[in-house]
Amino acid sequence: MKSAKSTNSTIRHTISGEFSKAFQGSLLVLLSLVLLSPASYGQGSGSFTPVTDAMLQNPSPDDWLMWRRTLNSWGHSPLTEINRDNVGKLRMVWTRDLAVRTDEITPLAYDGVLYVPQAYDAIEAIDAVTGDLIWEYTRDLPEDVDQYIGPHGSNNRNLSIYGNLLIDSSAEGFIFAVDARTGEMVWETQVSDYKDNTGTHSSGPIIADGRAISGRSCKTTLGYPGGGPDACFVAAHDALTGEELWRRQLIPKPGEPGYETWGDVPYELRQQVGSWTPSSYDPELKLVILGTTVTSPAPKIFLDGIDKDYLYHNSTLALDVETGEIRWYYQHLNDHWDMDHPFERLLVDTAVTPDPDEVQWINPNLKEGEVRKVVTGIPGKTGVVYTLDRETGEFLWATPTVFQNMIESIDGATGEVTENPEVVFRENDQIAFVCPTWIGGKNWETGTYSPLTNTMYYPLRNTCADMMATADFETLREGELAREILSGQGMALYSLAGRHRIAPGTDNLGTVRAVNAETGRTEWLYEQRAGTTSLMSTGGGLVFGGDGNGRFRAHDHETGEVLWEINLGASVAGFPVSFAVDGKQYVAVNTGPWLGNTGTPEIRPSVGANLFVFALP
Amino acid sequence: MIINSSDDGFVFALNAQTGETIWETEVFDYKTNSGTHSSGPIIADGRVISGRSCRAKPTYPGGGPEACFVAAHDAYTGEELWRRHLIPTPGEAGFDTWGDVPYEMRQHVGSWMPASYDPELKLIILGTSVTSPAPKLYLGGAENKHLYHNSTLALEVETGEIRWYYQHLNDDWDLDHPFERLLVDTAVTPDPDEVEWINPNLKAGEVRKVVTGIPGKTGVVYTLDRETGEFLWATPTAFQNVITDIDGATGEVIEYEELIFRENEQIVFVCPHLLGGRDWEAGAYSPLTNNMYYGVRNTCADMMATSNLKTSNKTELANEIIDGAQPIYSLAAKARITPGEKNSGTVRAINAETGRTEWLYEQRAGTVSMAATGGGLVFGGDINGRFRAFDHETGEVLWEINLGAPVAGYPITFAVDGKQYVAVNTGPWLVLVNPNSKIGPSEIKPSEGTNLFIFALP
Repeated sequence: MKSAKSTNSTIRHTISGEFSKAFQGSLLVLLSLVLLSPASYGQGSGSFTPVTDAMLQNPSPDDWLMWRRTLNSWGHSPLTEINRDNVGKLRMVWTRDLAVRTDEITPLAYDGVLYVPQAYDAIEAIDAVTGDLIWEYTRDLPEDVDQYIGPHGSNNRNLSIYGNLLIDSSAEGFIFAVDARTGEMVWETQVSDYKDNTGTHSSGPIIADGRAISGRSCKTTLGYPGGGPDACFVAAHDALTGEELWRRQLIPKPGEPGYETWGDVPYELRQQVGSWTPSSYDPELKLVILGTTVTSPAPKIFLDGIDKDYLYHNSTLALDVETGEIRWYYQHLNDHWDMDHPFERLLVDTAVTPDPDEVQWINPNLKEGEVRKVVTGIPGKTGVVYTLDRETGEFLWATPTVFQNMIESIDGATGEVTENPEVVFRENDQIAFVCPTWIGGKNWETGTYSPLTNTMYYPLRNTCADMMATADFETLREGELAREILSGQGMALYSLAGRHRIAPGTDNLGTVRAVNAETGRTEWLYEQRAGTTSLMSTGGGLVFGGDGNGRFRAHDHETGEVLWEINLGASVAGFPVSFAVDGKQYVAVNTGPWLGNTGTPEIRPSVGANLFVFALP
Repeated sequence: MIINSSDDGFVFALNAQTGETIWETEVFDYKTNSGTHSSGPIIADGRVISGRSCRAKPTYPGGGPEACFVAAHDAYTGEELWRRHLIPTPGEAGFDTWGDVPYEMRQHVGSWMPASYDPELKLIILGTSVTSPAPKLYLGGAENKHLYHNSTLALEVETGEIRWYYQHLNDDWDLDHPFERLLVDTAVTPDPDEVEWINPNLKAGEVRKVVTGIPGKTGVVYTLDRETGEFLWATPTAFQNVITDIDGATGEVIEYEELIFRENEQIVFVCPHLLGGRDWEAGAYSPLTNNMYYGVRNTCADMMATSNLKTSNKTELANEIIDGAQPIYSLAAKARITPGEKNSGTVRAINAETGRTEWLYEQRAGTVSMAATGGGLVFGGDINGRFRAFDHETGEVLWEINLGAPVAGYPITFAVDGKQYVAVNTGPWLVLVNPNSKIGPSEIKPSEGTNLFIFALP
């Protein structure tokens, strides 16, 4: 057996999973020694303290250690130095260009270092104060990877940090860990074969009690040869060794409960129910809470009819962290329109007192004011807020934010969702006017929750579409509308075509909406022409967020008033974070390509990818 | 109108309000006459004055002496008014300075930086580059001047006629002299303690119309009379070993004998390297201090003259030099920070009257273009992404920000509705991008993106 050092370098240059597995035994020993040692490890001037589950579950206010900073996915920093009184003086302190095509990313901030995921699984460690590069990791991906996974190799939303390791998913189907101090490869485990089993990732994992929990998009055999039901799963790996602990398929296998909900669709054609946004985790209940996407095709007439549920598409799932067993699920929408529901779930303990004047659907059995452990927020593209009991999945209340016409009603007592029959496709080439479009509403751009206001804040878009269910994308059709739809955005993967526009009755694509988590009331609403992007709330009473036109701004969390704004030139594609070094607070966000500027042709940002860091003078 | 030169050989004008093309005039055919531009024009009394690099055969099939010229076009119509060849055509004065070199092999004397203009004297003042090949043993020999390479030229704006010229260096080492000429009216009192070469006939304290600044990669400041080209004084800034002497009375430059290539594959140690010293990054002059401010780099090179970019010399040094081949110039070079220096980058404030260095700022990362302001500031960046403001009297750094990528652009300042702004851009920078030209600090690892940044007070 080789020495640990040469093992690392060997694995770095090895793509074969079998070859790397051969070294995992020795790596386990090595890592145990490292982690058990009380000493710190020099990294130039500083030292490195291994990251523990206790730190992840109760992080220092100074750090941003995961995608949404905490496992409850709040996207909230408790830091207070930058606040409503002084944010007007905020200024840029450094910036750095990111790899070409880097878009929606989250820098991790730990002990004065930013760990920055970038396109095609590159990672850079950057001094958080000076902006100078410390190390960079680039991954040797197969040249043909885009042919098999589509454009998603450039998405790399987040990393995890655990022990001395940074953990990420890779475009060609691996989970891998590099040393946070050096960028050197420590372990990698093949999860899927990008050619045979296209479980493409766009997000990295979260760490749930020592387990790296990773979801993926999964592709279909339509256009991606490696698609199929086995590509759709959430996996758990030992964060220190990379050993796979379990995988949970999101399309029931033969013999599993829910298998019958796909009717007569042959198993191999049950496809594309992925979970492509990172999960949340409740360490007390030991539950991984995650969301899923639409099927492919989306219109159920192209599967086995509209009367079946096709589990677990567009659902919230609660998985036992130790086994991956499904503790409960809730299906938000039987989805014919590509209205994915994989987005961040907010885990909140709150009184539940939905206001009947503002909340459309309420469980009649609620005890007013009772504090519940809930899953809340906007889980899907429809823009509907759902609040569920976190232990049982019981429906508590739900209400739309942007205009939507897909859900006709929700039975408060059972949570059963009834779709609007006028927009459910019943035949090939049928056209429906659907709000919002598959761009959302909400999309992967995150909201944030502030415990200071018990309010959640969401970037939402006012969109609608003339949408056609079709298996045929030939544009020479009868009817002007059909021709226009088919000359617009077509998505063969979903058997849908659409002509998108801003929702009737408004010129504003973008909104930021503050929704109270207890009452469901809208506390404030900010509207503007440009589409809005991801948000972060802070202990300073601020909600930071950007837009498709390059503006990055800070709102007062109580009123929505804009207290500070800067033009970063390109769409503010990334997830804002905040951190502190030596007692000084910083805010960071990145620009990059963004797909959401639908219906605002006069908005012409540049497309560069830069990480910007701000602080008070 | 916004007027520019194009890669395919045109000068063209756009409507400043709409971006629509108003006129375009072909200046040369890029395939047969490769007068490549890297700068746009200046406007001299309604004339668009444009220079160009011009290319050399055989690397560029369209090279040759006809590609090397400065042109004037009517700014409103695009009509060509004159063109001035920078390599004398047969029958012109200076044709004989190339010896026996056939006319079609006299190449690459370009003027690739924008000219300056004195509207009172009606003179365009511009600088020129090295020949191709650079070592004169491959041309007409070191004793021939090969005009007008590495010279300052004063052209009449109405005709393009050469009023005077001054040759800064008979250049074997690709040490171009095309950079911005500072036109200043100043007392001329060079301090003999700090200025190496002085015209003995100067009247101390006399105010002269001068051309001053650092015109070439050597980093040497030259001050000339603007009306006549008379040499007044000159002095080095960064360490240089190519010029051993300048005759103060005549301005004649004597190159260091041991550095002049006498045979193919000869290796010399030359300072600075062919990327400067200084290069296209601009200095700045402030009338408030009568100082000029320059980003100058401490570089040297082991350099070989090589006719075929190969060497039969099997030493490690020769192999490393050949890795840095410069095909057009028949040179190969291996760059390094000047021996004895830790810092690649400097900003030097030089008094335009006395030639004294008023202050010197030094750092690891190479420094780039400057702008001086009425607020008493000198703005300038470096290749490590830092953009900063110096006190123009002391050099103290009063403000600094990291822009992530080399501060490749020229800082400017402007005001809108009474509010002042400062702008500068980042981008790739030659000395980092070209692996054969890497100079010094390997710990400097900026990104390479291009952004325009705007700054203002809160």
